[in-house]
Amino acid sequence: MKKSLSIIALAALLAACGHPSVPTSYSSDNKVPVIYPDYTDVVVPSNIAPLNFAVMEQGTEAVARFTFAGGEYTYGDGKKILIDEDEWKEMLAASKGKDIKVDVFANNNGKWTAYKSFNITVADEDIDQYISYRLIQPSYVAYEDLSIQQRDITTFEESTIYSNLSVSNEEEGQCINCHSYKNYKTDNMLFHMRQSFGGTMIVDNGNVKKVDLKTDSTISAGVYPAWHPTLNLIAFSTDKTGQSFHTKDIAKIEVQDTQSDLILYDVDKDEVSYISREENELEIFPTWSPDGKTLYYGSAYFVYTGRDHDKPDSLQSDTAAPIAMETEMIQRYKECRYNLYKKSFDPKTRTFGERELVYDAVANEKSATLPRISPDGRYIAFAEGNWGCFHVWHPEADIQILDLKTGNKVTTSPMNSKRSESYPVWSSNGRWIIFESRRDDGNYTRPYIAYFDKKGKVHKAFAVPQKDPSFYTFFLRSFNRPEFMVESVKISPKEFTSVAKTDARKVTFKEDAKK
Amino acid sequence: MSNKQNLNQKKPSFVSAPPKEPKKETQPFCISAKVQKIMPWCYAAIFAVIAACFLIVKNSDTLYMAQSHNLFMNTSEYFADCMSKPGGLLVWMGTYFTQYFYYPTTGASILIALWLLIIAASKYAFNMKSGWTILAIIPIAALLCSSVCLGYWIYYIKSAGYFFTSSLGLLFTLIAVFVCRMLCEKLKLVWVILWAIVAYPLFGWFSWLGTIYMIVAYLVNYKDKQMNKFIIPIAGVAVAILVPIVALYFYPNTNASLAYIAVLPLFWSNEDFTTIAELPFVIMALAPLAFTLVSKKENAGTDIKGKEAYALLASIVIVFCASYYAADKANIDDYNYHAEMRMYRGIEEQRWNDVLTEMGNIPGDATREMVLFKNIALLNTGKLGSALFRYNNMSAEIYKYDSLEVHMVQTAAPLIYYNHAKTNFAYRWCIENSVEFGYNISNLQNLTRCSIIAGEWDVAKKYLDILKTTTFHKEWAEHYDSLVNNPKLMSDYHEFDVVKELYDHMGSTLDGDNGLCEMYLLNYFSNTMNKDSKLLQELTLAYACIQKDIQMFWPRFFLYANLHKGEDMPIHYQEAAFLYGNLEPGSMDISHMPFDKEKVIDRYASFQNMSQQIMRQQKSMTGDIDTKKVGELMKPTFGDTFYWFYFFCRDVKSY
Repeated sequence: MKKSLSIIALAALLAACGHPSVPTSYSSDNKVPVIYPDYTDVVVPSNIAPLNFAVMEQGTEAVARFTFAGGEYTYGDGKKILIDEDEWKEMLAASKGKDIKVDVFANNNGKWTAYKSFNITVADEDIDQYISYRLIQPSYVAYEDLSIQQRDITTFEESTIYSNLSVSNEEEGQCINCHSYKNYKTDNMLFHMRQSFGGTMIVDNGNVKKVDLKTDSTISAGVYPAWHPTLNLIAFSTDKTGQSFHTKDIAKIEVQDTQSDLILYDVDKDEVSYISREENELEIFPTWSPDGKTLYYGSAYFVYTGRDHDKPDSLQSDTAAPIAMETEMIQRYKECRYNLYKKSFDPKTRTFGERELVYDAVANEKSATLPRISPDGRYIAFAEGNWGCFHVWHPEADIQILDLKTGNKVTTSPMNSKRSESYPVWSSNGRWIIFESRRDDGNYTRPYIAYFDKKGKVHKAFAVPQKDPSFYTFFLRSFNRPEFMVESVKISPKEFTSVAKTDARKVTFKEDAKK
Repeated sequence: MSNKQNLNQKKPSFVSAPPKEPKKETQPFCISAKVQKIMPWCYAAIFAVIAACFLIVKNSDTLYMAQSHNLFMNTSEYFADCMSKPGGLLVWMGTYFTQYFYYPTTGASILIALWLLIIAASKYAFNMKSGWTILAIIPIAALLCSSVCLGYWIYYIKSAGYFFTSSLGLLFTLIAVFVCRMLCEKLKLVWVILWAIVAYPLFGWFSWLGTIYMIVAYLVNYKDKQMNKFIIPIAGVAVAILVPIVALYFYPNTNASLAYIAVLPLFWSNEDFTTIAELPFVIMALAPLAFTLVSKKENAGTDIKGKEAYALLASIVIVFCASYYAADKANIDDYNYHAEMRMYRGIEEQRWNDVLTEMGNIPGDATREMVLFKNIALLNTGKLGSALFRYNNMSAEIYKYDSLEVHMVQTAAPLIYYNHAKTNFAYRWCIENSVEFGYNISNLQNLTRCSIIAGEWDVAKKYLDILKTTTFHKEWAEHYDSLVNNPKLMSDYHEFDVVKELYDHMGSTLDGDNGLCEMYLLNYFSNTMNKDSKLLQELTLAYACIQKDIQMFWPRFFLYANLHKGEDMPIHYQEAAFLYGNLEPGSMDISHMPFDKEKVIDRYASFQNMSQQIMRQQKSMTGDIDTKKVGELMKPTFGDTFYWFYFFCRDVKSY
């Protein structure tokens, strides 16, 4: 009796853990099923975590059959398709350079429907094992709970690099932002902290220090960073940033720099010097070429007039006091457009050359920001919107890629959507681009990855997979600044917290460079 | 006993006088074990009545607001999110039970039931004599006070599940103490250590509180023998101290300075800490230590006699009187505080007439939030022009008992902005407040409404999907399912009619409200002109009247007249036109305007006469004119006119 009970229990357990069977009778629907996240006909890395998804078609139950070179597996858990991690690895290994065919069946009131098959193509190339991002509510002014997270995208493991709650309290909060790595490695990295325990956290060859990058000669502390790929130098923009609110436009927020320059921070000497501070130019978002001999950045030509542009000409007065820069920028925000430029850099003398135009977005009444150079140095990816620098709030913003060799734009429509895309980052092998997208709902930023093949062709983007496919639906924070890393951050959150509580080391301004 | 024996030894004597009646010794006052058995039930019943009185009778609106400022999602992600901080289980359970305040009586009954369980748990945990379980009323009375003393903190408190977390924490702690009491010495040691380790992630600060209870109970009742008296206390204290420190490695999102008070509600406002609101939790935590004093001793009789009995009776009276007094003192009975909540709910449920009735019933001046609620209700009932100034538009101060600064953007601005079709600003403050104080039902509903109006269907669906995971707002979310899946059905959803019309006719610009909702709305609408929407135009005219700006008034007045040709001009607009025409005759010729003779012209004349009469009297009596006093004297007669509003409604303090 006992034995038979055990057998029944074991059988029940196996049935529960096993693969569901594909229905034998069903009607066919000649359309690809609607699934979330959308993994239909995407190209994925050969080491990505399982692409779990939910079937969004009518019904209460769904089964998906994955057919690959080595056989087939079926999955189904209600309307969710949750793939076993080991089996997924087996499928990926067997399908390198090939397709995994997916057939989806949905059960609606006892009637099964088979949808048109779709493929998941497994690329030959791997993707960097880790990504990091800041988790933040799509906030306006207030902030509370911010963290920089790292995720192993070959699994579902996520951990905290640093959380502001480890030092914030009710008396004073702390904002954290702009994490950045030197050449995809984490022994040299940084992120900023503002307000309570403010400063820039620099990891210099595995040692953490906290510096205050604000000097009397610069607009602000360092803001948008870029580590030199080989030297202990970091280019920053220094910005005076403000934001204002659209009363009706679904863009909701306009974030504007009223002033900005570029500075160079020498990590070894704790010195900053100017890279660029041209008159009537708003320089922003520096990024290095992979060889470290060129610095790319965005810059907007914007001349402040001091006139109140909301007043008709008839009411203008020559004797009126000039209006504040912030006010004028709000009034003329659509006129602030960025082009992409570059400056040569001599690593030996640490001097920069004259600026050269790389991409004239203004000529097309566009604004190009957030440039990133592909690891082979041939392509520049950037975000392009109608105006401004903060394209995450601009629904029309798309990722663009320019072939620096031919000067031609690559077709990027497969990776873009009708909603905002921004912050493109190349993987270390140049085959993958991770970026922020608000395509899901227009308000919450999600990390998407697109394949960029050897021929320079962009493929359909897919959301970074999550263990539970409904994760993004219920998650009320945005993924901000996705960055690739080839290794995880080794400094513990506790260690960062200890250093965060210390006083920041003040950097010095290098006068010579200013001249 | 000894007296009895002596009497028995005395034998009667034939020679002596007849024996006197033996002196009867007076029996000491005694509360028998039988009576004691029913005493905890009586305590529970009396306390339940007191608690129900404060929670259900006096604070139903507060409890409903508490659930609308709460969010429990029935998802594994939500559970994981709660558990990512120490004390996560309490928060998860607290937010779960807070949902039941949707029906305030049900939620309050659950809370009271928990408190009664605490009485039982206290009795068994500390082996209290039944009669002395009266002391177990003290911590739950403190918890009752904590539930009724929130005031405007209800919008600002960052402790999710506030109403239940401490009650649940205390209950679990007492159960743990009971388990400890039942174990042998060696297992006690294991249990104390295990509790300190396991309880921290689940119950936060209650882990070390429970450890202290166990140690105190152990020391008070120490009788043995098997182990040194100090092994358990030292081990317990060491582990209770170490666990939160070690846990910081596992909770990177926890501030070390807050590690020992995880889940304890904290009342921080503008860098000030409100001690008074913290007091109930201190009392709740300390009271059980006194329970050890009244625990049953071995070989002791079960009756309570003599002084102890009198002490018990006195304690019963004192505890109940003190509990009632404390709850009454703690209870926020400010009329406007409660009326605001009722009006908020009325606006959410579009019960416009109820909102107006509530506004009409206020005994004194209204808060600015109430005035705006009233304006919204009037807009939706088409009575802006005829009733805007019939209600009290004077400003009452917000009720405060500490340094908490109340701002409308954090209490009701999302709902107010939404109803003025300023959906982006409503959306903004929903997000700002959610970022700071946590997402809640009310914000999610407002976010949904804003997204629907703006045609952001995908994000509306997201919010609806979240609301569908709740227990009592699922139905609300499902109601909009077909709309977000098929936006063409918008015209079938009449609840959006007014806001949609306003929205469709408003332009977009870059702007900011500087955190002042009322001032922004007044400025925005009074400066707007719109000839395509009667509704929007009426709002601009009404708000121009509130601004008391004569130049701003006339163009909006004439546009209104043009848009409403053939219709009666509402009385307040007539009053404003007649008043302005008289105040500045040069600015507008009103001689041809068909004012209502009785309601406008004659009333204005009466208004003038009365005001001059009062002022003359004042001047003759005091030699000076007190405008405020004049206004007060004229209010009963003319408080429903624009004239009175124009001259006497001053010192509006928006916040």
